[in-house]
Amino acid sequence: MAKKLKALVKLQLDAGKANPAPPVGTALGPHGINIMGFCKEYNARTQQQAGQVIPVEIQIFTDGSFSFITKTSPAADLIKKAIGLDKGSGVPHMEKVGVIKRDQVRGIAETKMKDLNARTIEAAMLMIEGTARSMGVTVED
Amino acid sequence: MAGLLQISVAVDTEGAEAVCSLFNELNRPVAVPDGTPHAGSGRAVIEATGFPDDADLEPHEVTMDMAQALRVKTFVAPGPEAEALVQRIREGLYWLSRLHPVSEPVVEVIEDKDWQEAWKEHYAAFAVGRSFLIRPAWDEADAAPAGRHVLRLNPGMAFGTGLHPSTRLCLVLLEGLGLPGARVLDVGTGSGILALGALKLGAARVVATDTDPTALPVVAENASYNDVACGLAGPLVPFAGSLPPPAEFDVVVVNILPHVIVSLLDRDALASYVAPTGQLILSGIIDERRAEVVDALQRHGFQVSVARYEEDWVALLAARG
Repeated sequence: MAKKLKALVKLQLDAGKANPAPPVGTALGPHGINIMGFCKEYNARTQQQAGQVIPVEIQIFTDGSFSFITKTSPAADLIKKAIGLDKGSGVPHMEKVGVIKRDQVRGIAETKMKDLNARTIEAAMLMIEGTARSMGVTVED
Repeated sequence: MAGLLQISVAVDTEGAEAVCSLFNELNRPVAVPDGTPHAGSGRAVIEATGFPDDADLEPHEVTMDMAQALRVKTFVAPGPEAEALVQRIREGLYWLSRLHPVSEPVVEVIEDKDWQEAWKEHYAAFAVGRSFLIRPAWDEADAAPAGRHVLRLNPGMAFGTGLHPSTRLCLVLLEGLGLPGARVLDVGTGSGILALGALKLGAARVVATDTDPTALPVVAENASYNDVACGLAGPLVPFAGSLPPPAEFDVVVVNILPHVIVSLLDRDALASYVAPTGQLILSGIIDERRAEVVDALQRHGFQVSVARYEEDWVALLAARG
């Protein structure tokens, strides 16, 4: 029988660098899970992706145990990295801050395919393009 | 400790990602000189609670949208800019609420307490392997079950609560070795749990190293809970750093991470610390990265004799082949 789930917590952390300071401590501490245990395990699993933001979804059970799965980097981070952008636009419909090529969008869609609710690469690309536009990044061929 | 401001809103799953991006964009981690993000600033957290009480549901089948309540939180460190930042976040949320249903933000001061301590109330005595009972230092019970060594621990800030599979695997492998009279080296000792475990199993002398300055006082404290003398005279000899001056040991145990283990072998001559007929225990290894460690062992003339698993963690016992 499956264990009873108390909470599901999603965090975005720097690969290999989780530590008990906020937001890890403040997000997980109140649920009573072993923070050091989580940090060590997260860092072990993400060491090779150092430099990226690796989101993690943590399932916390009523008995105090937990398990987690790591996800691919957020689309916005991958877009920023692909075009060397520091910050998205605060007013995306007015102020454009960058341009991304459709090939780059395809690359990001391929990376994120397993975490996206998309059946085809084209559908995944549309999602990535939507994220790009919401950051004030124009998509070009 | 100073309070942190927690800003949280209730949203649906679709709105959650949008609120997260807003929080992440406005409340950016502030890099301090050594590059670590400033405590209290940083990325958004999504917390889902109120899941259906469905016994047939396997954990991997549970998704965010099954939760009855979804909140997105961000934490703001106190300081001169906090008020302006909270105001910018409020404004951003107002604009977002015109696109997605987003609740009014709740801004509250939460205690930035020692989160490393918060889980202690859930840490009770438990058995490991055939020989050990790990008991928190603050647990006053002193009865020892027949045939078990009681290890009293206050893991404090250091790694090694005995709850993690990598630690348990090491204790179980240590049990299987003939330790009475042995010289043991514990690299990356953390709380000192493995060093103390080896002494309980009869080791004559254990050198326990750690590069983390917070670990060694914890080791000394834990030694005192177990009536073990900790100092240059031993039997527990703490050493600040990665490896002590060259010496041979009958057993060397390293419970860290694969890339650290490989680097210790390739760059720091870890193998030279293992006596000719000595044993090496390596742990902290996720199964998918086992091959890297096995390759490194072979480069230094070691063969794996036992690989023990718990969940997807593996610990290796190796000797010269």
